[in-house]
Amino acid sequence: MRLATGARIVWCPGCGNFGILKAFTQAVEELSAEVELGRFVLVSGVGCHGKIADYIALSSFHTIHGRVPPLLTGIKLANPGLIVVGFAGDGDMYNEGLVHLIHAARRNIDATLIVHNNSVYGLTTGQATATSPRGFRGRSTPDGNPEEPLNPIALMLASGASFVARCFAGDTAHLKQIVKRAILHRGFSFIDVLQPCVTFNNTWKLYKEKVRPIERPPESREEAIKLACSADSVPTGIFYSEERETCEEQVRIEARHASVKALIEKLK
Amino acid sequence: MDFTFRVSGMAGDGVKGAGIIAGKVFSRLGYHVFVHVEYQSLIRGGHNAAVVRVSTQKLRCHRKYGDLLIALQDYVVPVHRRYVEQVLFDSSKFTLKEGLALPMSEFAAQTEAPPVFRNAAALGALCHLYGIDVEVLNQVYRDAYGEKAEKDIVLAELGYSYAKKRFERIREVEQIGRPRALLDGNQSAGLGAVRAGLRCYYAYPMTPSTSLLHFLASHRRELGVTVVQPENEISAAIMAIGSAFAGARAMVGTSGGGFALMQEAFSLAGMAEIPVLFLEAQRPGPSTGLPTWHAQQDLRFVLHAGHGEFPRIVASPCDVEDAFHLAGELLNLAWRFQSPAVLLMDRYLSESTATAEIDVDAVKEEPPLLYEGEPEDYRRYLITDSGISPLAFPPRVMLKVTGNEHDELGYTTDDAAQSAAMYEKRMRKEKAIEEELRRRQAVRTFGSGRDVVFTWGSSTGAVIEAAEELGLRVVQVRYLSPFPKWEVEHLEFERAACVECNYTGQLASLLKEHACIEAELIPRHDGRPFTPDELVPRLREVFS
Repeated sequence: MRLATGARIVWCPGCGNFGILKAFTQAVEELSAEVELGRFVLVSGVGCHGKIADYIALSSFHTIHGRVPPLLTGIKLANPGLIVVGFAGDGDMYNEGLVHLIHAARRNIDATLIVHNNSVYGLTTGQATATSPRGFRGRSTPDGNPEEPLNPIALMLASGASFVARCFAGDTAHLKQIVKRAILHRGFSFIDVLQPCVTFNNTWKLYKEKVRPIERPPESREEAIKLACSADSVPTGIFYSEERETCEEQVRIEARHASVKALIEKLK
Repeated sequence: MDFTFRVSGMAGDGVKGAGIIAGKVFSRLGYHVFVHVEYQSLIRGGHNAAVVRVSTQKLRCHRKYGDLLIALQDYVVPVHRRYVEQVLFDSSKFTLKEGLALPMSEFAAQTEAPPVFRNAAALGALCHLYGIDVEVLNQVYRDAYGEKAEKDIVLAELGYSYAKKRFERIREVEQIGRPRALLDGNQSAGLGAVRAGLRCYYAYPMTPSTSLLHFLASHRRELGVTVVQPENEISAAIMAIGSAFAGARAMVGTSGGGFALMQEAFSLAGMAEIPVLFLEAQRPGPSTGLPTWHAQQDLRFVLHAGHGEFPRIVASPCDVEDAFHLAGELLNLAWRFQSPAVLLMDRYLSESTATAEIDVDAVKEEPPLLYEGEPEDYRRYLITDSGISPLAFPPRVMLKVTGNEHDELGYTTDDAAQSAAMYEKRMRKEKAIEEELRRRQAVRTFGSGRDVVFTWGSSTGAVIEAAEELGLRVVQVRYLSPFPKWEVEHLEFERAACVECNYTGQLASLLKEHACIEAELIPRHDGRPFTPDELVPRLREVFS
């Protein structure tokens, strides 16, 4: 792999993270014909997924827990020529940093966010996250998780994300296609990737049975929310996509020679 | 010449605006002006006041006693009466046994202006009382409000003519020089940072830092600064770290509670060696405390902010000019040493508006140590003697940054030898910073005398005036981290006091810790700043 760094990969054998790493690097390699690789900046949070920054030979910032979206925003506002892609975990993004996720979607910063959603805290050895099912027996919930899981797709649709997709780490060909679309999308692109944790929440079998490609793409945000809330199947693909003005287009001020003296004159 | 007057009413009466407009009348005539505002955490009702001090000398604080109160509500009169000679009041709203009766509300009604405009009539009368041509006030209104100033001007004229016929002049105030710039401490700090190359400002509203957010937002185009109000303080700090990572100079502004939320980001900036300037405008805590009042309680908090050990640069300015210089200096130092820096402001400095002679050219963007080698050889965390590794940014190089312990390339490590070497590299910067601060004004001395008063931040202003009266020497500790031990440990003096707005004596304890100086503490912790009038007797007690 051209984008490998030489860092030893320390994910468990069979981890869903491998599928995400493979699909992402393939997507970037395919895009490299049109996009200079030096322009990519990756941001990862804290959790097993966060190590991905060490495994890809692109600029990166392995930040603290839950804070991937504001870091993407700060980088993009400083230099909109950079292509910023965030990786976050479900505990990282749907628990610790949920508030940032909602506001990044509203703000529509031109960034891609890939959530490695394995419905468990892996690196802290198996506690329930916001997407763990009710009744999940983790080490902190021995009688079963008493909380309802959060629906990330419906939440992102309701928050105004301009690109919302769900993928499965076991289908790297599909994931690669969606990642490419997300990166090329102008605005905030959100991909929730269902990712089995072989050690603490092995969902390979479950997802292989339940995951189905979206048959008919929803035509509106409302339809997409309806599909996201349908209980029976786990549809994958693009739920919704729209073009609208981005955060940086609206708020970024070009650097210029600051007229401090003129402003002080005005304060007289 | 040195005199003071006050404007007071309820929130919504335009008290602060009237105080600043009045201040501008005098700064236009060449006087030094200091406007102190007091207000409560509410939008309508309550008690607001603006204390305007005018002088031929440089001002860093207000005085309690003065000529006049402009009373917009009857219930504010008892609060201020004992500090002033006379009261100018709105006689269409209430009556007083004695005082200068001006039917402000009637004038506003006649002019078909909303009631809040009545203070223009009061300021017109004020011009008469101080022997100033009302046209000076009219021009201030025109410059402030443009075409919308029409009614203010009509009201100012009405107040002026009414007063001219009925009231005796208090003073004759003449033009003594060229107009002076009038700005608050936050605005001045913002301009200093802009001179040092500020490109991004991120802030969540929090008193008393908010005036900087408003100021930079309204002038962002002429200053070339991107201004964003994110969802919370955590986001603000992380956005600033992101911008600095990508090569843009960034600052965040907040108060103690907001800075508490930024702790983890502050620590990240320390570990990842990201230069970010944090403006922390103190107010009384703990918790929400007294949200609109004054304190200097966060010194120890800022010195120990963030988990883990890492160098940080902390400085606290004493006045509006100092805020400009220190903000610029700190942003430059943050970049030079790739460390977080804190400009520790306080409510009295942040929100008081004062005239300032700002030497704009004294602050400019100083380039950091930049990497000039081949992109593929770049090591973000190259281990050097000074601890400073050359900077480069994408897309020129592949930049690897992390909040985990890392090797020279920026890849995560938990190797013992590598971890220790990187820890030591970061900590070596502390020495490098200290060497740099030895060349800068880490402390400032005012006056002379065998006895010394130590102080910091905006308390310095009142201390200087009180000390002048008593023949004491004042030492303002300007840089607080690294603590300027080299400056204070060789000071010769007979007795020492330390003046600060907190309970425990945070600077006093630092003096003891770093320089074995025992200074008698003169604390204040009622949310109010020191004034010279109140300090003189307390200092006299210590040094008698």
